[in-house]
Amino acid sequence: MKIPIDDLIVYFPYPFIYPEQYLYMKELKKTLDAGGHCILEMPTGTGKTVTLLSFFVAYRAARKSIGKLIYCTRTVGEIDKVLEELERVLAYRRDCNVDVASESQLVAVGLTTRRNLCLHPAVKDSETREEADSKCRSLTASWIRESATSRSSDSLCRYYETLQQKGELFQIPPGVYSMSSLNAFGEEQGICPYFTARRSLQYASIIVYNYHYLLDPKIARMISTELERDCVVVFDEAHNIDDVCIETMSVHLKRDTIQRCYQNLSHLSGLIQDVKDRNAQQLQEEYQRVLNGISYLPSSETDALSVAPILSDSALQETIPGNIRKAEHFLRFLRRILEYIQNVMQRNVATQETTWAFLQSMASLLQSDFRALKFSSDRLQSLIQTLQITHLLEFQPLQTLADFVTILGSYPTGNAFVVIFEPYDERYPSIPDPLLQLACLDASLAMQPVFSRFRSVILTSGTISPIELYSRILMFTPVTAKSLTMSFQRRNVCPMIVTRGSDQLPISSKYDYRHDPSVVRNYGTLVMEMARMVPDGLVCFFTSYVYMETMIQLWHEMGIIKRISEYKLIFIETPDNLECTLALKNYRKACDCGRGAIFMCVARGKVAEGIDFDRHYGRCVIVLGVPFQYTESRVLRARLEFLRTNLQISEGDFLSFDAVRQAAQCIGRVIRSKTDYGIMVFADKRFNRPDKKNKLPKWVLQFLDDAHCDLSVDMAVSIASAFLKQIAQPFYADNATGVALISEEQLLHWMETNDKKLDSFEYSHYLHTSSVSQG
Amino acid sequence: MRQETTLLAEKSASFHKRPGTLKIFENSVAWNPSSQAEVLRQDSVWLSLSDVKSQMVSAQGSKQALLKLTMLNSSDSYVFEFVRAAKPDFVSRDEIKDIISRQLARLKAAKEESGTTQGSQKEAEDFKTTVSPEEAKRRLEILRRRPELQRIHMSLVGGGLISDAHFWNGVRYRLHQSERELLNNEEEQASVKQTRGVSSEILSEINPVEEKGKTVKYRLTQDIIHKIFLEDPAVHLAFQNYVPSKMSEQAFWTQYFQSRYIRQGKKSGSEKDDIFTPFDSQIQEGKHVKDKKEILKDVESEINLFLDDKPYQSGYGINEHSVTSQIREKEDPSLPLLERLNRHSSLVIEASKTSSASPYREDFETHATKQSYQKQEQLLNFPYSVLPSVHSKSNQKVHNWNYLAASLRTLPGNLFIVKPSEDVSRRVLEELFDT
Repeated sequence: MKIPIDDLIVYFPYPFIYPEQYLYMKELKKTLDAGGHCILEMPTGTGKTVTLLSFFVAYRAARKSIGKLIYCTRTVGEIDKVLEELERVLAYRRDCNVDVASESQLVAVGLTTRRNLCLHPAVKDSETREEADSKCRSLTASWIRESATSRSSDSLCRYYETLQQKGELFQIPPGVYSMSSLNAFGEEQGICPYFTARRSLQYASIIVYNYHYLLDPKIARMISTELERDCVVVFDEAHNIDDVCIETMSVHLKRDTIQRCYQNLSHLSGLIQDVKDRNAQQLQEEYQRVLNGISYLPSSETDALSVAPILSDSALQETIPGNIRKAEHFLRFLRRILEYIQNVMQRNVATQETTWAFLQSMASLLQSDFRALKFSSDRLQSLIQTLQITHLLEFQPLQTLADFVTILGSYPTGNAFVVIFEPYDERYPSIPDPLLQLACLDASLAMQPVFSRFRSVILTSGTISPIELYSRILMFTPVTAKSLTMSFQRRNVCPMIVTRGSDQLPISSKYDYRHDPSVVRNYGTLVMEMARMVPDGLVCFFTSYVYMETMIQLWHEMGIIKRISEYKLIFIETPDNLECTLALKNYRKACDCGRGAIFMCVARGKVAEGIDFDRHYGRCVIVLGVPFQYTESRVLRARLEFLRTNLQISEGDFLSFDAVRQAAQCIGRVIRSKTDYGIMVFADKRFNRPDKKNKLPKWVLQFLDDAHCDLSVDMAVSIASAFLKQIAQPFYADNATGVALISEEQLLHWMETNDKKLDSFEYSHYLHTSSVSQG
Repeated sequence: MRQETTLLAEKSASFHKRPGTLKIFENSVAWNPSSQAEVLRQDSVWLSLSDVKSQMVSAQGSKQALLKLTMLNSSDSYVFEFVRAAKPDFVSRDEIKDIISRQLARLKAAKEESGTTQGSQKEAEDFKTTVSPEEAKRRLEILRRRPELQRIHMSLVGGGLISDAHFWNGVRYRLHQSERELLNNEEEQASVKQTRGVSSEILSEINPVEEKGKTVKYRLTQDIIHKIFLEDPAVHLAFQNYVPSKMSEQAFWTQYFQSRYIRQGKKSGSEKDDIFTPFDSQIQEGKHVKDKKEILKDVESEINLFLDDKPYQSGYGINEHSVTSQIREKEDPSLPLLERLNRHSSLVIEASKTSSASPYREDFETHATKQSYQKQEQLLNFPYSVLPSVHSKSNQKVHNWNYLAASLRTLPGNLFIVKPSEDVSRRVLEELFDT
C-alpha cells in the first residue's frame, strides 16, 4: 500500500498497516527533516524493521541529499532478518514501478566478521574471530603478496587475488547481500566475500552490521572511517547500548596476560635484532616516519589492524615523543611499564584509584613523563607493520597492554575511568586471580563521536523505557522521543505480577529469602502449574546462572523437576555453547511435534539476548525474581557513584531501571508479531512496587491492570487458564481491519477527517476493546 | 458339499511337515498332500472361507514363512508353511495371504448385503450396532458437511421410515465419485496407526520397593535397564567392561545403586572406588571429540549460538574473574544434573522422531516389523546403542522399545537386592535420626 506521510509517499509492502507503524513513520520523518537524533520505543512484534526500511528507502528516493543508512544490530541472525525485510520492501517498490531506473537501484550489504564471510578452506573453519583474522592476514598481507612468486601460489588466497585482479573500480551489482548471498556471490565469481563487502561500504546505500563496527574505536577507525556525515544511523534493540559503550572502552589485564607480554617483548626484540642484521634500512625508514609525525598508513586494506582505542583525532596530530621513537627504546619503555604493572598486581588488597592517581604513582616510579603513554598503541602498530608480523594472535597480550596505557594516557584527568585492582574474586577468596581493570564509567564517551559525526542517530527498541534516562546516560538531546503503545484487536498479551505463593507467603529472589524452602517451593509450584496449563513452549528466566543451578538442584531434591517432566520436556541453558545450541534445537523440535517443552535460561545470558521464542516456541514466559546485577562488583559500584555525582541518577533508580529493562527484554522474546500471543509472569513481590512497575514499557503497562497485579500462584494459574481458553478461539485477521490494521482507504479517510485522531487513536481503541471484552 | 468353483491360486505348501499344494478357490481353501499314498489316507484339508475367522502370518524375515488360519466355529487352526528350495518362501505366502484377505472381505460384504436385503428389523439393528466408531464419526462428518443430507436423514431415519443402515447404503451408492475418494482418503488416514512415543517422564528415579531393616530393594526390568543405559552412557560402558567377566550382574547393579542413589550428592573419599568414575570421564572426553560442524549442520541460523563472536577480544570489556569461573564450571556440582536433564529430553525427542515419521498401510505384522527394523537402525546409529547381552535368552535381539514393552508385559521383572555397605547404611541412619 502507498502511505502518504506529509509530502512523501512510502511504499509499504503489506496491504495493511498498524496504526503505530504509521505514527512511527511520522516520528521518523520529523527527526530526519530536523536532522537530529531520536529515541523511539515501539512494541516488539509490530514491525519496526520493515517500517523503518520502507520509510528510509522512500525518503532517500525523494531527498537525494541524504546519505547511507547504517543499520546496527547486535547479532548475525538479526543482520539477515533486516536484509530479508529490505528485500521485500525493494521487491514491492519494483512491483509498483518505482525505482526502475538503473541509477536508483541500490546496493545493500550486511557485513560480519571474516570468520563468517570467508571461502578459503584453511580460514573459514577457525574457532574464533582472532584466529580467522590472523590466518587471513598470513595469506593476504601486502608483503606476503609481494614476496610470493606467482599469483596462483598456495601461500596466497586465490579468492582475494581474483578480487584484486578485478581492480579498485569493481562494484557488485545492485541488490541485497546477506551473509549467505555474499558467500554465494563470492563463490560464483571466485572472489573474497569479506573484502568485497568491506569495499562495497563506500558505495552501498544501506549497510547492516554489528554495533561494534561503529562504536568500538578500535574497529570503527579501521572500517567505518569513510562514511559521510549525511548518513542516518540506526541502533536497533538499543536498550543495552550504554553497556556496549562502556565495554568497548574498558580494558583489563590478568596474570597470564602479563606473562605473555614478557614473551612478546622478548620475541619482538629478537625480531628487531634480526631485521637490524638483515635490513637496517627498514627500521631507519620507520624511525624517519615516526620522527616526521606521519602515522603509519597501511599500504593495503589487508594490512590494516585494529587501531588505538582513542576517540579524538587531536591526539594523533601531535608527534610521537622522542623517548619511544626508536624501536628498541619503545620496547624498553613498554618493559618498564609492564614491570610496574606486574608490581601493582602483586598487591594483596583490592584497590580503586582514579586514573590521575594511578598515573602519578606510575610516573614517579618510572621517573618519566606520561605524555608518551597515549601513543603506545599506535607506536606498537607501526612496529608490527614494519616487522611484517602476520600472526597477530600471538601479540594480542602486548596489544592489550598498549591499549591499556593508551587509554590511561588519553584520559589522565576526570572521573570517566577508574582503575580497579582485585587480587581475587570476592566470592572465592581462596583462589588467587589478580585482575587489573581500567573500567569506563561514562557511556557517552563512545557514543559522543557517533552523535557528533552523523546527521541523525535513531535509537530504537521494543523496550527502551524510561526514555529520559537513556538521553541522560548517553548525554544527548533527542529531537523526538516517543514511546508508542500497541493497538490491538484482542488482548494478546497477558502480563501478571505474582507476589505470593498459594500459601500466601511472599516470593522473591532477594538474597535473604532466595534459599528459603517456602520460596523455592512456591517458585517450583508456579513453574509446574504453568507447565501443566500452557500448551507448547514455556520459557523461564532466572536472575543468574548460579541461582538457576541451585534452584534446579533444590527442585530436583523436592521432586518438583520430576513433576514438571510429566508435563513438559525440560531443557536448560548451560555454559557450553554447543550443548546450549543443541538444547535449543531439540526444544524447538519438541514444540513442533506438539509434545511441549520448557526452557530454563538466564536473564542477561546468551539466550535471553539473542534467541526469539515466538509463536508456539513460547506461549508463556516466567521471570523468576528481579534480575539485578551483581551489586557487590566494584566496577558496578564505581559506575553507580559516577552516575550519582555526574548525572544525579540515584543508585536505586539505576539498579531497578537496569533490572526492569532486562526483565522486559526477557518477556519481549515471546511476542514477535501481532497474531502472536503469550502470558508474561513477573514472579517477585518487588515487581509490584511502583519504582519497578512504572519502569516497564508502556505497551506492557497498558495490559497490566490492577486485576493482574499482586497475585498469588493459584490466582495467576486461573487467570492464565481463562486467558488461554479465550485466546485459543479461532482468530481472523480481517476482524482487526480498521482497528489494529488499517487499509489504504481507511488511512486516507482518517487523514482527511482528522489527522489528530490517529495520535489519540490507541487510547480510544483501548477503551473500545476493554468494553467489548467485558460485554 | 464341495463346490469346486474357479481356482484362484495354487502354491506348494506343507502342512504338519508334509509337503503338498495349497489351492485357493472362490469360497474355499484346499490342501492336498503331494504323495499319492497320503491322498488315499484322506489326509487332505478343506476349509470353507466363510468359516475362516482370521489369518495370521509370520514376520517377514523370520525363520519360517507361515500362514495360520483360525476358524470361526471351533478353536482349530491350520498352519501352512511355505518353502522353496529349503528357504522360507515369503513371496508365495504373501500372494496367498492377499488373495485370502480379498476373498474374506468380499464374502463379508456379500454377507452384509444379504443381511440387509432380507430386511428383518432385528438384523438391521445388529448391523447398526456393528458400526465401528470410525465409521460413525465419518458418517457424522458427511452429515455435517451436507446440510440437505442431514435434513433427509432427520425425516427418513428419524421419522422411522427406513433404517439407518438402509439410508447409508443409499448414500454410499449416490455419493459423488470425488467425494467418495475423499472419504476413502480419510479412511486411509484414519487407519494409519500413530505409535506411542517415549514418555517424557524422567525415569532416573527408581524408587526402592521395600525398605526393611538394612535392605533396600530395587526392581529392575529390562525396560528400565535399557533406559538407564541410554540416559547414562557411562553405566553402559561400565556394564560392557565388567559384566560378566569381572563381576556378576547383580553385583554390578548393587554398585550402580550405591553410586547413583545412596551416595547421591555426597562427595566423599570413597568416590575413588566407584567403578563408574573412569567411564564418566571417558564420556566427558568423548563429548569434545565429536565434530562440531557435523552437529551444527542442520541448526537454523537464528538459534545457532556459534555464529556470533564474542564482541570483544579477550582483554577488553568488563570482565569477571575468569580463572574462578573456570574452576566453578569444573567443580560445579549441579552441572551433571543439568546435562542429564538436557540429555534425557533430547533422547525423548530423538526417539519419538522416527516412530511417527512415515506411516505404513500394510498389515499390522509387516508394519510392526518394519518399524522395529527402523528402530533398530536408529538405535544402532545412536551412540552407545549396541546393547550388551542382558539375559542369556534375549541376547541375540537388538533392543527396541516395542520389544521391551512386550517383554515388560511377559517377564515378571528381575529383583535385585541391594545391600548398602556398613558405613553407608550407618550414615544414612545417622542422617535419618538427625532430622
